[in-house]
Amino acid sequence: MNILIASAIVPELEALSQADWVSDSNHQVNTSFVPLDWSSCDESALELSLRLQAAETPIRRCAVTIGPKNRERFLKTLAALKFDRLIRVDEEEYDLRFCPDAVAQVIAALAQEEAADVILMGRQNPLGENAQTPLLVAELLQIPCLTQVMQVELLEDRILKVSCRVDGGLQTYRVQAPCVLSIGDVPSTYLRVPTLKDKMKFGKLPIEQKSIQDFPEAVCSLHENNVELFSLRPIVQEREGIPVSGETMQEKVHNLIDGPLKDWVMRK
Amino acid sequence: MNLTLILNAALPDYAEQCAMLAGLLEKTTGLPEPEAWVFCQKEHLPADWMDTIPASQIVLLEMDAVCVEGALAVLVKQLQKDTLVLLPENYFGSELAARLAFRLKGSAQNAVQTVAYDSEQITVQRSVYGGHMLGSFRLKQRPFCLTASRSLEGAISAQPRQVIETIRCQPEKNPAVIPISYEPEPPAEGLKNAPFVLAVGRGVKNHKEMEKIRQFAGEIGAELGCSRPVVMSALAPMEQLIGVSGTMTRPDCCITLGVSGAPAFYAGVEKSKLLISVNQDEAASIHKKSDASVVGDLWEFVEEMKKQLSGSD
Repeated sequence: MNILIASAIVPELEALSQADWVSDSNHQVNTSFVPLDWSSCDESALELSLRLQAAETPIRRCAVTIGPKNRERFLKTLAALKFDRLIRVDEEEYDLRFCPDAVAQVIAALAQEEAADVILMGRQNPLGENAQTPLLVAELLQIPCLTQVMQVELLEDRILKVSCRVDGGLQTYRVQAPCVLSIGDVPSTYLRVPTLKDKMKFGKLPIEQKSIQDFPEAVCSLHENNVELFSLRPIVQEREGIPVSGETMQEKVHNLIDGPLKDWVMRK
Repeated sequence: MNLTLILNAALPDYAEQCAMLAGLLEKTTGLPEPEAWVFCQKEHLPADWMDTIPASQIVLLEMDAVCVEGALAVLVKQLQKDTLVLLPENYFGSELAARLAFRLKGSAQNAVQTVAYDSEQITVQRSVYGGHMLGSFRLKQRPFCLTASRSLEGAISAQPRQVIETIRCQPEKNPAVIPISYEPEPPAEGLKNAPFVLAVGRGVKNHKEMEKIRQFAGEIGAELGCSRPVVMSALAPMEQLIGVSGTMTRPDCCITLGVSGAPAFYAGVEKSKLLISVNQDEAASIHKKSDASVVGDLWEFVEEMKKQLSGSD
């Protein structure tokens, strides 16, 4: 069974201070100085793909990321986790932040190349917050998409048991591949750490480099420019923020209980 | 341009859907009078279902079981190209908006906060960069399929409402996806409507600490909620998640312990009348977003609160 996992490596947005949230004349925010990490839902997708095992079903895992060269060190981790193929697509000069359709074209093309039975990816990239890419991949390939996936189990070759959060509960399905699985918030799905032995043995898998130009449908979508960003400004949410007075925690709590919290808690 | 509101009356959050759409309509300019298309299971409409719809004209779409695939099949046939479609930002609405826009070669945007229309184009605003920035977008291709942000909550006006058409839909089932079982989730009603909330963040490191916090919440009579890192570490169940991916609370009083103040969490507590933050990091953004702040260790705070409230200080 072939699994394609599309994952983004993004700046840790919470590492920026309030003062860093400014956009330039190209509506870009400088995040070059903060660490990078897996997009959290994509990380869950990677880990869930590793948990898909079935005794008599050989599984091939292909991971793809779209971004500049500095993302490749993350793909090396996947090599050590015994992924079978690693692809980085360079976005060149294009801005893909708010173009889920272009991203979907790239992923769909690679899914066809890989003859992917299951395409796993996180619900959305935290930069763009588009929440569309997995759905658009499914539409392009005309296959089902299950969203807010919490658990995946391989029942037999190309037959999965998938549990999804739906409005009001948890729905479990029996799914015939091919399909797209869009991963939401899933507890305890941090990507496992490869052993040193596996890093030495498997870490040298080459990373294939492609360009966005290799995907003419995606480039066409970018040129259409249906959704145009024309303004980007920080969201400021502030209240009084008055520090509770007191030199010690005892004093602060005393002032809090006698002050703002007086209607809520009571000393015995 | 037509304006169509899409609602799913088969879901437990039906009233919230109506409120989201009403909230977006309050922040829009230049739009025509809306028509509401309500998907429902026949003879299973909620009580007073018409009274909360922010539109006077209603089209009822009856199905045996309301699902996105079925709704898509109907809307692709029925919707006109020159339409602005507003949906709620729940799982149903978010999926439907993106797929509908694709099939009709239109434009989709999720979690929109404002909409403006002139005869040429639509402009929308929504949060980007993890909720830190507000992006303004122009959309060109019609139909426009937008979901209203979960943070919006509008007032429902008293207006005469009538069902102008009932359509019976019988979409085909997809044989590749077979439902096996459904487990309703425990309602987060307690957290959603709690007047007093204690919200804990990544300052809590393990189950033992989480249990101490749970006890403390019980002692002060607060409903306990958590930020995403706590739930992702499986220290608390999903029903206790506060924020854009969880419950949007509106307490009279909220105390946050060890919460940094990330926008995705803050959206879930921003309607608090009184917000008090406790975090040992003076630079944590939550302090500026709260009414009163305590810079200090959350465990010292908890112990001191327990001492003073029990009278043993």
